[in-house]
Amino acid sequence: MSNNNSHHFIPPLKFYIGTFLALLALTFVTVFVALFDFGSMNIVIALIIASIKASLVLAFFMGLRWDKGVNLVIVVSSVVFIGIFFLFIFADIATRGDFDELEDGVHGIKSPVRILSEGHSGGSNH
Amino acid sequence: MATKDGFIKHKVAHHFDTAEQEFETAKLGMWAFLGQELLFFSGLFVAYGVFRFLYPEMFIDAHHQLSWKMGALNTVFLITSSFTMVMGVRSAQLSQKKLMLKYLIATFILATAFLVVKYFEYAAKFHHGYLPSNWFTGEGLFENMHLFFGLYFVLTGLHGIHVAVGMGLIAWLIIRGNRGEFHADYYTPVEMVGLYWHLVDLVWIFLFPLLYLIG
Repeated sequence: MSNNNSHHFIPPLKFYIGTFLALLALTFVTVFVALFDFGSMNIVIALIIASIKASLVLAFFMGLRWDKGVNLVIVVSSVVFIGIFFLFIFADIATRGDFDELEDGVHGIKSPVRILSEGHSGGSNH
Repeated sequence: MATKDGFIKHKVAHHFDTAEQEFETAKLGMWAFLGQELLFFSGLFVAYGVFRFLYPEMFIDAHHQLSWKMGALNTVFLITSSFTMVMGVRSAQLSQKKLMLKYLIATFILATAFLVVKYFEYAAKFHHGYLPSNWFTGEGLFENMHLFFGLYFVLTGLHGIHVAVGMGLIAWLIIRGNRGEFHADYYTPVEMVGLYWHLVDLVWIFLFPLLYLIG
């Protein structure tokens, strides 16, 4: 048999076990922090934890830590373009007012949102 | 073809100089595909972001219909399956055929468990009418709750299809691995399916908090 592949680096087992345990721990953390209400920070905290988990998977399970740089470039550029995607969509959505005046009348951007039953806080109603 | 240790020698395709070059080429192609997969899912995540931004209260109310316990159980299944997958790749790198097959079978079983849990979740949603668009007949405080379930079913459905495809690929690895095709000198398919499987895990890592743990 040829020996061409045998110089492939095989990462020490501790990295895989460590990543596995860290992912389980962070899953517990993300469920635990969801018990508390941090208002608008809820989604930020959830996304930070998810991003840490994703980075661990990419770095160790998917081996980017030991890999050729070009594979990392592909992942990073994908993430950058996803960021641009979000940025431009939200530059539109988040800066609109709630109403649009058109020829045939006033339209609510968020309509129709109607609360079907009473006794629930929140919910825009226009 | 089989060598005395029960492995089948890999023949490097004629357009490659070395096995190393062949492996790195396959890996680069795989990463390009995975980069595309991220962008492919991103459209749905942007749609999720827009609707959650517009109707935050509706999202909070709608997500109470999802069982976070089932979502958490499935998260543990997928994370564990990622671990068994990476151990399967490692076993292939070390030419440990039996161990590799055990890890691949474990990965397959965990993927099956994921889809079984998903089946029970879907069955409950169907039963109570929490469906997308016109099919929505569930009870809720907001009349546009079908938007959340549209996103829920498309996101988890697309992810579920990826899990099913991954199971097919793992079964393919088990069959080829059993023939002795994977060893220290050639384990490219194991590595590539492994990368794909971790991406499936990666998508779920974001889906779980965004769908099951809102507010």
